[in-house]
Amino acid sequence: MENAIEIKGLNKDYGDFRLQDVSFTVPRGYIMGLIGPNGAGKTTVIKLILNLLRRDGGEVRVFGRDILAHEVEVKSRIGFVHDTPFFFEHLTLRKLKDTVAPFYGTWDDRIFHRLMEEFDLPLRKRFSKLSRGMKMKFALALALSHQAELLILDEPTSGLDPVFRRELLARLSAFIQDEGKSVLFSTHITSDLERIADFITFIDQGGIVFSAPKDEILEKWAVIKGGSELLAEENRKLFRGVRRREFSVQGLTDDGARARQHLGKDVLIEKASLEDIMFYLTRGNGHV
Amino acid sequence: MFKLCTKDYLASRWLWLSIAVLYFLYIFQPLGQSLMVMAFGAMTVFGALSITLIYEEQNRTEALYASLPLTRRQIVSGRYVLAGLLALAGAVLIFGSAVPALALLKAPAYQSALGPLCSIEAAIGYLFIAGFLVAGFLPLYYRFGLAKGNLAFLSGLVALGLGVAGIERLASKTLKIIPPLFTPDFLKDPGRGAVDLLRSFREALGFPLFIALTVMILAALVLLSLRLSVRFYEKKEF
Repeated sequence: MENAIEIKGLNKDYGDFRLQDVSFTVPRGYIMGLIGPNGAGKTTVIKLILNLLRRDGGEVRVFGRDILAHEVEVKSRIGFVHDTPFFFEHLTLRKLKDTVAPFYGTWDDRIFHRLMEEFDLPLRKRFSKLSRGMKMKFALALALSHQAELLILDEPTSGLDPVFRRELLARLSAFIQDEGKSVLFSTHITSDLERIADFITFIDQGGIVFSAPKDEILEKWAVIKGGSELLAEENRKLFRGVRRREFSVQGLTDDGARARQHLGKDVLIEKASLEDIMFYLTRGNGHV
Repeated sequence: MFKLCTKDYLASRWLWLSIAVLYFLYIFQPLGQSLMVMAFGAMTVFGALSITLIYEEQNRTEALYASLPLTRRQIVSGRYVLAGLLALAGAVLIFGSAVPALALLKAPAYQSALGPLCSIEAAIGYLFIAGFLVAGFLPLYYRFGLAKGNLAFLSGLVALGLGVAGIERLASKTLKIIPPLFTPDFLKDPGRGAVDLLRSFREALGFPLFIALTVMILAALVLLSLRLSVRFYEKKEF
């Protein structure tokens, strides 16, 4: 089956920031989490997929088709939620729906009204009167009402309370139950992705650090805690990032099994969370 | 493209209506000068279009609608269609209100302000000016954004006005190859003067040629403008 998204050698140069040679694939029927610190390039990647930015090089294929050559066809199969949902603030939700729905041939008003009820969003309410969480819910309702095959969500959970975050994650899990539907979900709240993502792509300073199945990542990567002897020359190559305290050292390895074999029982080795991985890979080189 | 116009209509309809009401109230003032009515009439289209663009910029909705299944070319073309529809609606408002107002209001101040509007030359002049304003403004808007685009456009209009006045002066006073266009009679009521000038062109060319020439010039302007706008908008990043 064709992939939902295939990105190869994607480049974008802003002068002071460069997205360099970004490549990854989102297989159909899965949720891909795009993680990275603020300013890593997550939103740039998403905007390039939606053709909101001009790429300087590389290829973006959605459902096997180049986004530039088949923009209308491809976009009609994508549902999107931007990091900050901007709509005409003075319009009611019903009117806002009327400004978006006609562009989708597959728009289903019944789904939209069902979602509005489930999300407890009154159609007569003005957009300006909604809280951030409600605005996100409305954007999600629009994205889900045209039977999109791919959802692209840019930081949809940032600034939202845990109740709505869980609700959103449940909704995304339900979305991919329908085979062939996929989600690309960017966030820096990694705990959200640990719950639902099948694949993780980690981006930092405009480059891909890794892109792999989540279970494989959580299986292989580990945090090692021990004394300063951990930093002996022969151990150093095990670490992808290190934090030194006065009397102890903590480090991240991408090969937990090898570390266990090499370091034995003198150190504590724990499974790394996505947050640990993000932290050590971006900040893990100095003293605390 | 009409879907884009519907979107703009839903967003801007109440302020468009306010402009129409303002215009309607305006023509019932005893102005005496037809130029003011004509200028205000032409500005209804420009004003209505500007309101739509201001709303879009204020609410930062461009990225949202650029994410929908539309090409940049379609989005820009939608704006031109909207401008055309606004120009037609403006024509209905201006000429539709001038005829009954003229019949109702017999005072000379109303007759001299509204009289020149009730002519085919005024209607053609209106559509030409509305088209010219839109064709000149939209590429600048897509290139520089709303604030800088407006500034560039207004500067261009001033330069054009000065240029036309300068050429007229050079050709009529220095080179003496044409008779003066801006005579004291013309300047007494420039609106009526402009209509009379158009009438003299129509009489000299004949009606079919006059219409054909106007349509051709306007079409060339709009097509050039559309091409530039699409080129600028395709480079835009959100």
